[in-house]
Amino acid sequence: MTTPTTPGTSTTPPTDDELEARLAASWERSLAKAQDDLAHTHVVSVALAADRRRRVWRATGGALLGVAAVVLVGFAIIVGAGGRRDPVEPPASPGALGSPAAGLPTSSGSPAPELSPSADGIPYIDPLVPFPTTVDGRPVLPVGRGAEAALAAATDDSPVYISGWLIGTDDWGCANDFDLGSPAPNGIRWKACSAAGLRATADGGATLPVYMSYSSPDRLIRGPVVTMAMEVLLRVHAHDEGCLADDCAHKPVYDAVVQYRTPRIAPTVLAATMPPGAITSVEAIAAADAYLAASPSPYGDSWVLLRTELGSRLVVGNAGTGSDGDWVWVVWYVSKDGYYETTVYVEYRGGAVHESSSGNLRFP
Amino acid sequence: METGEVGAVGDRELVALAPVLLAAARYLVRSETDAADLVQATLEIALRRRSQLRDPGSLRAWLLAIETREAFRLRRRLRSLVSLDGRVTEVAVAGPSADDLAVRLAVGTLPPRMRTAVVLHHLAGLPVAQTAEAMGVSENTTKTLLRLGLARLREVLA
Repeated sequence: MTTPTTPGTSTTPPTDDELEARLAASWERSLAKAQDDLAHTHVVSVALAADRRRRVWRATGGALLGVAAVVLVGFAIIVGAGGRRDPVEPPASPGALGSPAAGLPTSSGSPAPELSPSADGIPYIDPLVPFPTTVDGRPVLPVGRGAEAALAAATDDSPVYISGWLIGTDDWGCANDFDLGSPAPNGIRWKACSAAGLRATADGGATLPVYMSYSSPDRLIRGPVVTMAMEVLLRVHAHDEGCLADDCAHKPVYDAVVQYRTPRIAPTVLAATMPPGAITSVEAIAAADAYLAASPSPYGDSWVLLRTELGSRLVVGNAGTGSDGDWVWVVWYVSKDGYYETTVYVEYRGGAVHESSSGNLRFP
Repeated sequence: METGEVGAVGDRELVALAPVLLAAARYLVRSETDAADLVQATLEIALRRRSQLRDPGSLRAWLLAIETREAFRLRRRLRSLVSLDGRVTEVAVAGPSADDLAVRLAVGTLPPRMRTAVVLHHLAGLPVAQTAEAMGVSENTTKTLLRLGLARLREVLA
C-alpha cells in the first residue's frame, strides 16, 4: 500500500533562507492578528487601569505616610524633651482623608478600613474588606438577600441601607430625562437621572433599580468605567414624597452613598478576554458578506460595510426573552442609497451567523 | 530627551508594542489564555517600572525581556500543577494559512529555552546580545540554542 502524498509537501529539509522566510512570514501574520485581536480585547485597558489604580494608591499612601511621620516625629520630640505627656490624640486614621460626607451615618458593626477617597470624598474600601453589617443600628441588606423584602415591608421613609454592584457595562446612567416635578409613568417625580441598577453580584444577577427622585441630593452615584464593577453601600428610602402613585411607594429612592468599594475588573470582562478558537474580524466580515449575499433582499448585493465590533457578552434571542448567547462579532452595513442599515451577528467561536434583525439581540 | 525619568516612556509607546508582545507570547506559551495573561502581566510590570528604562530606544527589547522572564515564571508555576510539556494543546491559529500553522506547531515542539531563543531572535528580531540578556544567559549559549533550534525546525518542517 502506498501512502498518498500531500501536494505541496516535501521531505527535503528547507534551506536556511527558506526557513528564515517562513519564520518571517509566520511572524508577520501573528503580528497582524495580534494587532487585530488586541483592538477587541481588554488586555491593554486592564493593564492601564491597574497602573492608574496603583498610582492613586501610591499617592494616597505617600500622604498617609507623611502624616504618620509627622505624628511620630512630634511624639518623639515630646518624649525626648521629657515633657509632660499630655493625652495624645490618636493620629488621623486613613479614613480621615475620605470620611463619609457630612450628614452621612457613621458605620458600625464590623469596621471597614477606608483606604482612599473617591473623587467625591466618599471612601473606597479594599475589595477584601467586607462592608459593615449595620449602619446606625440598621442592617445593611444586600440586593437579592433582604433588600427587596425590607423595602416591600417599609411603612415610611426611614433610611434603608442596601449594598450591591454597579457594573460598568450596565446602562445605569442618565438614560431618561424627565422634567423636574413632572410625574414619570411610574408615578415618581424624577430628577434628570432615572435609576441605577444595583446588581446582586459583580457578574450580574438580580437587579434592584434605585431611583433618583426630585428629593434626591444633587450628588449622584459615581459609576465604574465600562470594564469595571464596583460594590456600593447606599442609603435609600421608600415612600418618597415625590411618589404620586401607589405603585411607587416601595421603590428605593436614592439618598446617599455610604461607601464605595475599590472597583475591580468585571468578571464578565475577565471571562471574556480571550475566548479560545476565535475567528478574526476579517473572517467575520466574510461570513456576514456571504450571509447577506444569500439573503432574499432587494439590497442583497448592495450593502456597504460600515463597521464591525466584538460584542461584549451579547445575548442572542428574541427580544425580551434574553436567552443566553455567545460572544459575537457585530457587523454593520448600510445600503448604497444610505436609507437602510442592517446588522449581522457572527459567533466569535465557530463563525455561525445569526439573524440580521436588530430586534433579536440586546445588550444585557 | 532626558532618559531615566519617570514617564520617559509614555503609555502610548508601551501600548504600541502590545501586538509584538501578544504575537511573541503566542509562540512562548501554549494556550491563548496564558498568552493574554502574559501580555497583561508584562504591560503591568513595564508600566510600574518604566522609570528604570535608561534607553527608550531599547523599549522593544526591554519589554520582550520582561515577557520572557514572566513566561519562564508562568511555566514554572504551571509545571507545579500539571506538566504541559509534550502536549500540544490549544494552538493560536493566526489565520487560515496551513504553512503558518505548521511553523507554529514546529516552534511549539522546541524545548522552552530553545523556543524562547528562536522566538526572540528569529521571529521578534532581537539581536543575539539582547536575546541573551533577555534570557539571562551568555551570548555563546544563545548562539548554541539558536543553532540547535533551527536544526530542529528544519527537521520538523521537512
